Amino acid sequence: MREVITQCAAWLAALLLLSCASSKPASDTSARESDRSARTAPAPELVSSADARFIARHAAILEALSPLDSAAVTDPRAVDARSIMAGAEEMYLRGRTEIALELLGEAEAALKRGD
Amino acid sequence: MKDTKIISILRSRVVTAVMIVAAVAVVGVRLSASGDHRHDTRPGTRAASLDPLQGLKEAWQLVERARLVIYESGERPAPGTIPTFNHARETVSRAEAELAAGRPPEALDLMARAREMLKLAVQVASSEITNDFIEKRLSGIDELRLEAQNLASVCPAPGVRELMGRGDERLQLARQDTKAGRLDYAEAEATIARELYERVIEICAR
Repeated sequence: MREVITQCAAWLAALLLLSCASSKPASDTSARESDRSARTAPAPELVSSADARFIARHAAILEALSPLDSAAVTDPRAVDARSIMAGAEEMYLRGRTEIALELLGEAEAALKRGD
Repeated sequence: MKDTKIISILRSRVVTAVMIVAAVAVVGVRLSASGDHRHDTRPGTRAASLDPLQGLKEAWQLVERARLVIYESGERPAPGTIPTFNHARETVSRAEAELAAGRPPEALDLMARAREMLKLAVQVASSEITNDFIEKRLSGIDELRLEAQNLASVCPAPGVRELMGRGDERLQLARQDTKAGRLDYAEAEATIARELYERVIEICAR
């Protein structure tokens, strides 16, 4: 009798372990929860990631604007893009990086206009 | 009889042990796999690769923008703003020197520090974005618009009318955003409109 109980307990323990292992990892659901709360309080990694995206895109647009700035005739696309960049830079410095990124997208579109 | 019982007990113990070892192994493999996945997808762990020269240009651009934002209101900036701003500017100069000396990692590190200082200086210096603040800004931009409009009407430079039109669009967006309570967006649109009118004045004055 004792032997049967021991074996049942072992099987039960093994089944429990296997079911835990085969269930979805907890990180999946907690990631979804954190996605929802990210709108109100972005995680530090996300903040630094937005910051890095702003710096990289901002630098790339400045680089693209260089040849247009040096052109003898003022290119309206460059003036438009530069003005949008001014808004983006201000928002970045005020800590509104997400708005700054949206504006960088508009500056990129302004540069592509007419291509 | 006794031997058979011992063998039976031993067999059940071996089966139990094998089951437990197998389950532990499965759990271990899954946990390590999920750990790898998390490591791969975590955002922000890999720094964006930035060309140091581009980074320097970008940092100087932010220094200039911070200067404009800090002094824009015409009022005396909050205490501590100017030293922080000057320190940021000196830090970018040091980054430039590091880059010239062939030390890009140190230069990039200094640029990152300077950006944080600039943000701090702007956030301490600049007024909170309120309805009154935006309204005051917009009435100032209206005056600038009139000046740009007068110059543009007699200005032969190509693209000036297009730029005036873009300025007007941005000014309208700033007003719409103010009404809707989207004050950060209103502030950004106001800045863009002001920049456009200033460029028109600059182009037509040449």
